[in-house]
Amino acid sequence: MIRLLRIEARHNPAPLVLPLLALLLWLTPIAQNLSPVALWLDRSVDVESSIQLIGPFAAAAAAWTASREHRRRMADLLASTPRNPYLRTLAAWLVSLGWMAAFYVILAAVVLSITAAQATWGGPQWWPLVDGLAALIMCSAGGFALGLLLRTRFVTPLVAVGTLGVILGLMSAAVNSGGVIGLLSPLYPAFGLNALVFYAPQPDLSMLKIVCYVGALGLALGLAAWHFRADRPSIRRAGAALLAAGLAITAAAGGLDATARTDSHGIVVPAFHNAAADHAVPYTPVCSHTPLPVCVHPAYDGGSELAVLATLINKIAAPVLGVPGMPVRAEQAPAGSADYGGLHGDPPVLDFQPFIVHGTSLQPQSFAQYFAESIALSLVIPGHSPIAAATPAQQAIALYLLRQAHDPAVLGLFPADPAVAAAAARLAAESPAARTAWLTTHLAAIRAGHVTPQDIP
Amino acid sequence: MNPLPARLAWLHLRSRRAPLALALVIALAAVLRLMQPWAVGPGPFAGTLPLVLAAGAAAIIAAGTQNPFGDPEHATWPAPRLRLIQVAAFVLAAAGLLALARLGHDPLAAIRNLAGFTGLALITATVISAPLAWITPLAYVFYCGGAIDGQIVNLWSWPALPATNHSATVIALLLLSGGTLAITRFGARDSQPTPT
Repeated sequence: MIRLLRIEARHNPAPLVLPLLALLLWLTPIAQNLSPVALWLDRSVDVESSIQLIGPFAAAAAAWTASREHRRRMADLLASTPRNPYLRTLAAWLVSLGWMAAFYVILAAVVLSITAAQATWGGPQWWPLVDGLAALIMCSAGGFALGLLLRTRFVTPLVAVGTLGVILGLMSAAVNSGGVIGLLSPLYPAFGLNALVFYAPQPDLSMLKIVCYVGALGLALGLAAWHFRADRPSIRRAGAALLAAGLAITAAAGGLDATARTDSHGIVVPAFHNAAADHAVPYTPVCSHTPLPVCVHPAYDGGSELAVLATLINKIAAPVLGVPGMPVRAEQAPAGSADYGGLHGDPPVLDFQPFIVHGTSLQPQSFAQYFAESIALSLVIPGHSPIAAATPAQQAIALYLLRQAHDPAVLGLFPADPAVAAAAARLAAESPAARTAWLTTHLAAIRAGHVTPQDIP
Repeated sequence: MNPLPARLAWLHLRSRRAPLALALVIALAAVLRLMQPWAVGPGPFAGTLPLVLAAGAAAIIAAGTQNPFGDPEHATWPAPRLRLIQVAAFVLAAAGLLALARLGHDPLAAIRNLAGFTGLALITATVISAPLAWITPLAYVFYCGGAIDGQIVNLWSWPALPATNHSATVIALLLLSGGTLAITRFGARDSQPTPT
C-alpha cells in the first residue's frame, strides 16, 4: 500500500495546480488582510475561507484522479488484477487529497506565523482551521465520488464549478436571505466578528460544520464504494454502511442547523452550546491622547487603527467637544453598530462597532463614508435609535460636522433637502462661542426631535 | 468551398457529446434561474455566483471540443469548419439560455461574460487540453470575486462591470474571437485520451 501511495504521489495531477492556487491566494483579500491589525480568530477564519478557492480545485483534482482509469481505458485491464479496486482507487484519492491538505496546512502555518509576529492580544484559535480542513476533505471526497460515477468528459469542470457554486450559493443564502442552511457553507464565519475578542469564542458552528462535513464525507465514500459493488460483497456492504451512516449524520446536522440562532456573540447551536463558557473576556482598553479620547480593545492596537479612528472621530466631533451632554470618550464596543446611535451612560460615552483597519484609512470608501456619517449623527440623536430615522435638524447638525471635517456626505442618510443644507450652512457661519451656546441650550430638544432646521440660527 | 452535409455536422456534434453538453448548459441556466434570489443584491457572493455559472457553461463548451479520434481526424478537410459550427452553435445556445435565466437582472452582462469566459476556455483548450479548459475561467472568476469583495472593480475585472460598459464588451468579444480562431484553426490539444 505504501508503495502504491508513493507511486500515486509522483503521478498525481494535484501538485500541478498548487502554484496557481498560491498565485490566486496572493491576489485575494486573504493575502491583503495580512497587515496589522492581527486578530487570531479573524486570521483563522480567513484561512477557513480559503476553502472557497482550494475546495473547487481539490474536488476537480479528485474527480480527475477518479476518472483516470476510465479516461486512459485501463478499467478492464486493472479489473484483472487481484488488488481490491476500491482500496486501489481510494489510494489515488488519498494522495490527491494529501497534496491539497498539505497546501492548506502550509497556508495555515504561514498565516498563523505572520499573525504570531503581529498580534497584540490572545492566542491561536484552532476550530476554524479544523472545520476548514474538514470542508476540504468533504469537497475532495465529493469530487472523487462524482468522478467515479459520472464517466463523462464534462465531469471535472462540472465538479469544480459545482463546488464553488454550492459554497457561494449557500453563503449568499445566509447573507442575503437569512437562510440557516447557509450557515453550513465553509465560507460562513464560524465566529461572529463582534465576539472575536470581547467574548470567549464559542465553537458551536464549527462543531456543527464538522458533523455535517463528516456526514457528507460518509455519503461520498459510500457512493464511491457503491460504484464497485459488483466486484466484491465486502465492498458492497462497506458502501451500504457508509451511505447509511453518512445519510444519518448529514440529516442530524441538518436538524441541528435548523435550531441554530444568532446572538451578539455569534452563532449558538443549543446541542453544542456551553453556556458556562459563554462570558465576556476582561480587558483594559488602549486610549488615544486626543481631546476626545478614543479607546480600542488591546487586540486592535497593533497597527494604525487607533490613530486612524482617533483622528477621524476627533475631526468630526471637534466643534461640539465640551458641550454638556456630548461624549467624554469614544469606545470600541461589541454592542456598537453603525446603524444605531452609539451614545450611552452619564457622562455619555460614544460606542462604535469593532472592525479592522488595514493601512492608514478606512476601506472601502463607501464604508468610510457610512461610518463617518454614523458618528456625526450619533452625536445628535438619542442612544440606540436608528440613524436612518434622524430628523432634518439632526441631519443638518451632522451635515455641518461632516463638512467642517472635510468629509463628503452622500445621499441616502442625507437626502437632498435644501432646508437641511441651508441650516448646516448657517450653523457653520456662526462663531464658535455662539454655536456652543446654542447647542448647550438646545441639545436636549435636538435629541428629542423638537427642533426644526428653521430653528437653527 | 463545398457545402457541408448536415449529417456530417450532426455526426461531428454527436462525437463531441453535444446533446449531453446542451443538457448540461440547460441545467446550468436552470440553476442560475433557481438561484436568482441569491444571485442578486449586494455583496460579493451574489455578485460572483452568476460569474461562476457563466464560467461553468464556458467550461462545458470548451470541454466539448475534445477530439475523440486523435490524429486521424486532423487529416480530414472539413474539421476546422465543423469545429467552428460546433463552437458557434453552442455559444449562441448558451448565450440565449443564460440571458433567459438572467431576465430582469442585466441579461446582456450574462451574454458578455459567457462570451469572454468561453474565449478564455477555448484558448486554454488549444494550449493545454479541453478537459482542463475550465481552469482559466474559474481562476479568473476568483480574481473577479476578490475585486467585487474589495469594491475595486475595473477593466481588469471586466466581468463584474455592468453591460453598459463598452470596454468590457470589447474585451469579451476579443477573447471570444481569439478563442474561436484558435480552436477552429488548431483544435483542442490532444494531451491524452478522453472519456466519451
